[in-house]
Amino acid sequence: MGKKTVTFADDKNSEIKNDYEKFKKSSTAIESMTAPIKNIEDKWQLLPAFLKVKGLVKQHIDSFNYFVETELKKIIRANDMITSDVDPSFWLKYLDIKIGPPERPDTDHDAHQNVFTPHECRLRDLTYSGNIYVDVEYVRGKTRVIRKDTIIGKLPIMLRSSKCVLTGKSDEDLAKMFECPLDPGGYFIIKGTEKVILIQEQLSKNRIIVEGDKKGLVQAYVTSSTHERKSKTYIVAKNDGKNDKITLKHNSISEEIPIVIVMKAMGIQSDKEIAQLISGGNQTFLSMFSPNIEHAAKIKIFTQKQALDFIGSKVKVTRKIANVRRPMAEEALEILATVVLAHVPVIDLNFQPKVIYIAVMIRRVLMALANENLVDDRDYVGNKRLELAGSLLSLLFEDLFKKFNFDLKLNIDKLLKKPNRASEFDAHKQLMQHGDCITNGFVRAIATGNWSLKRFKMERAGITHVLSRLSYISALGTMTRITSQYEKTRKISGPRALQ
Amino acid sequence: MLCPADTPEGEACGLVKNLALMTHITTDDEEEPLRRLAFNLGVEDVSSLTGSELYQPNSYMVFLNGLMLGITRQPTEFVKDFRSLRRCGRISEFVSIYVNHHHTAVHIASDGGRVCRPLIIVENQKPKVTSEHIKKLKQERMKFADFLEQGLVEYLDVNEENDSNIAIYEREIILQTTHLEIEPFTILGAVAGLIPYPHHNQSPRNTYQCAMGKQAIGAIAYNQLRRIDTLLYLMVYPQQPMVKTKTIELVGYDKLPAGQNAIVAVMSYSGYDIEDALVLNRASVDRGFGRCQVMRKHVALMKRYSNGSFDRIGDPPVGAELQTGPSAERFNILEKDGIAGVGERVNPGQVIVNRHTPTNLNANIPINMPIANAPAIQFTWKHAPLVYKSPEPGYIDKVCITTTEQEQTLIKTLIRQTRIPELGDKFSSRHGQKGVCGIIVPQEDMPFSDAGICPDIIMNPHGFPSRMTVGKMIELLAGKAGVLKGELQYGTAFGGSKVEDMSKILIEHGYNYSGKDYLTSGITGEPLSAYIFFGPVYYQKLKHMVVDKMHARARGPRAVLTRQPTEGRSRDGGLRLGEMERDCLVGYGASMLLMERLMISSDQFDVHVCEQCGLLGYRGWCQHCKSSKHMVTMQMPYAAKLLFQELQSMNISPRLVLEEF
Repeated sequence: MGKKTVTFADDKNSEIKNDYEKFKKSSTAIESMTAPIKNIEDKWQLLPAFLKVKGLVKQHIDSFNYFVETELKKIIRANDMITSDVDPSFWLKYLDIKIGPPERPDTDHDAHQNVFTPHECRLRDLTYSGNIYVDVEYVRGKTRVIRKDTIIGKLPIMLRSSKCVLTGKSDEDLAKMFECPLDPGGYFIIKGTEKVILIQEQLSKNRIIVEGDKKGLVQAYVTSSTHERKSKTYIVAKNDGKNDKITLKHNSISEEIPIVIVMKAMGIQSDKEIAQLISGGNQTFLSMFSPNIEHAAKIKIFTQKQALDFIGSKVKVTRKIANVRRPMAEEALEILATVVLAHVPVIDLNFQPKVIYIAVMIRRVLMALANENLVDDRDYVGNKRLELAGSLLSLLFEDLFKKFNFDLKLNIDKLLKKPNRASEFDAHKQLMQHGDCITNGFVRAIATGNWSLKRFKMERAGITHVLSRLSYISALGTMTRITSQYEKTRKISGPRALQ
Repeated sequence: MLCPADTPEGEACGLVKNLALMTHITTDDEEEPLRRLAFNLGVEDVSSLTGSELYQPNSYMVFLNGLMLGITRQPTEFVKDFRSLRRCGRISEFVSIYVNHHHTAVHIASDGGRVCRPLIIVENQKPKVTSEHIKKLKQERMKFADFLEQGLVEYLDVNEENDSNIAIYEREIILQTTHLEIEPFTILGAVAGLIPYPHHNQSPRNTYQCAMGKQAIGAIAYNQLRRIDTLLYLMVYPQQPMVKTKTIELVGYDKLPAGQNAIVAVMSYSGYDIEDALVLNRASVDRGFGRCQVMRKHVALMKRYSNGSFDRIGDPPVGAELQTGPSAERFNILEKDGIAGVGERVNPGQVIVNRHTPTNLNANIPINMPIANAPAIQFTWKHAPLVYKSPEPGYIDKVCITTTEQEQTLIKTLIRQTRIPELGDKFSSRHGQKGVCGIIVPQEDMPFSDAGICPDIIMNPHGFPSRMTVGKMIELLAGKAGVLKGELQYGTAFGGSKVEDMSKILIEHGYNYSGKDYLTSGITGEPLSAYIFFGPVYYQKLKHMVVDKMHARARGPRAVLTRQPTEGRSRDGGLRLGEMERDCLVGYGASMLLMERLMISSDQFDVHVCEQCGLLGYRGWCQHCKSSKHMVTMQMPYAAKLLFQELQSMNISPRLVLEEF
């Protein structure tokens, strides 16, 4: 029987080869164009090959790996220095960070050195997590000390990720660890329960999205997101006939600012240049936009200084240390440079890229005003980004790490304030003491599914789900599920418009 | 990218989605090299631009992750060059580039969170992947990464996909085609991929199946018997489906299936099969069809308290202690260690872990007292046993004694129940065709074919016309052909075994091409007057079972506040005569029945009312009038009395005006 099939396959292959030879011989240009394209046999074999490396639940694992291997280092690099307000000569610097393999929490008095398996966590209601090690450099007395592998907390480890003991194990080894070889991984074990961080769907960051409503209001907005800041900038055009000004709306400015004033404040003082940037010689757009230029002239704002003063009077001052009051114009300049459209960098007050960016936004608004079809579809998947475990954890870690550093600094300051210390001050001890803050932060967030980050004013519930083990398929199903962030706020629209 | 079938019904419909089989989600990628590359490919920097250049007819703005880099005057060439660099692996395969002609812009994206999927590249009307490559792949001389590296396959994200022309089949390739689909069935996700012949079904049926497939009882993992989960449903004899799909093999559902191949006769039988009810064969049930096990975890944590006391496991009562009292039976299954023995049958109310807790948790015992003095402290203990509460008996499957992180002893017991299908258990095929078991018929009463085959399930044919699940019929046909030929058949979406071939196999084995058989009635012994559509269909047992839901009550507990019967099965609650039922009785005029249901059987209460002031009194005394002269007793619902008192508490005085009736 086996023989038979082999010969059959050979026949087939030789047939293909023959065909191929024939094809080669007769491949004049015209013939090759007209010859029907042969089906690629068994092309579906690419699928299992694909699924070996990507797909199904691998996106969770890839995302987590990226977080552990790359993102963590970036976060550390962005917040690497701790200084003291008390002792100016003191500083502490994080050099490196790494995640250790999962470890048993009570390992010190547990002498036997067998591996800590996920299955043990499930049975013993433990958390499957590995230590976060950092290398620090700091000042002790008058010397600079480098300490390696200091534990600052524990990070829950995703099953089958690069840090998990199950990766790269054969089926036999897995069986020894009481683990199912078909289990896809991609979830966490928190206090013995299996938790999945669901894929979150949200609108793209840093992209211009134009939307209109029935009342004729057209706005272009960008959700800027950088490591330091998240902000949303609107450019609004009310097309209700009488009041057709285009304005800029932003949370840090109390009123909508006429767009021409914003552009003037950014250093484009000549009306002609503004008109040029927006219309580019197109008469329709020019005539649509000209009332805005006129309006700026009417309220007598011609120069950058005037424009900055105008905006400065409307800026919401939120800084706590208000002892150094700066001129309003300066305030306005800073806000325009760093907060409005935060993702467009302004280097050495060169506003040119940002002005052009605003011009493009205005242009998009004008285009949408002229042609209703040019508004963007917010439900289009191309305008969406899916947030996975890695990016959610990195947000959480950044927040926890900043809090950790803040607490550490407070503690160091408190200790340094004491005039005479018995022993030499060693920041390393302080570093070790705060471990629970990060550990508990992770465990609490994943266990409850509440992501509350003060820094970004993010308060999300229901991020994680218990991995449903009703059947193998239901487990897979929870891993591939995508939830939408806009559920509550959205009016019934696009995605629900089914029959 | 996203599965078109897999979304929940109702509230979250369309908002909760599922990934398709072949999608990948990108992670962030470095921007700097891309920026440099873009400038090398002839992008003019933004900071050197003016308005007139920006909107020249043939100049396109170039954006990188939403940030403007500059403009290019040859967008097509730019994009082409960029793509070819990606195809030869100079930049990450997940970077996407596309032209938006409406906005005269070229967008390059390397940020994380974009959905993308691999496609075969087509150049000069020829797919770059050839049979040779696939052969090498089969021999494991090539991996998927090699396909990417050699520029045969590339990832496209949603935006770039919209900028390409993708042919589904080779024969559809035309001049403009840029890509070729790897397999069309990858449009579906892992859950919808289980459905055989989904392209023959009405689309909502596939959606229903996606919801139901997640409730099917089956195998969970190879380590399922080592797990101690709060609730675990396991099928005793799961089978892989006769009609598979490629997805089933890819995700491993054939190794961890959730269902059984049942021989189905599509005919009406006995009238116990109306409204989608199924008729089951008693013999099949006895042989293990639809049999499942339910494992439930019961946990006892031995706590340590701040005053140094701790929980302990008490010995089971012995001797005289055990003999006395009606509760002796409760401790029957405990072993010497005070924990129920593995393999014991647990009846409702029996003790699983005989835990004791200290009575005085607040008494302060100095912690740093020398150990020698410790025995001097006498703890008193009270019973706090872990009791088995489920109404159905079970068996102790496993006991796990371990410690938690806080050094507390944790005792987990797993209790197993084996459940045989009974009336009212829910079953479903893989086509959104659910139904409950309506009757279980002895095998001798079931119809049988000339080959002596008796169906496991009889399904009413009325399930077909309105549901239009043609896929189920084809599944039956393919399944039957597979059984006769001794091989598994494929029902992959947009492909799979063809009906024509299936019919041929049936004919070869001496069966009718349409899958219909001659059946003899088991009751009369006469031939049935029609040919019956007869063959194997994969059936799933769903987790909704009658034993978990069955509930009745004559009398029982009442809520403390309202004195009305409690609600819900778990609290042994009453069955509510609701608003609409009340309306019926009001409309009918059955006032005595109403009175009985709503008051006498519920929360009747004797109140003392003062006829003079109309307020409620107590024991024949009106506190308002300071007299007992005009008091009368009457019955009213306790809830009404409560309402009056609550109103009084907020300074509203409800007064009753009594009349002779």
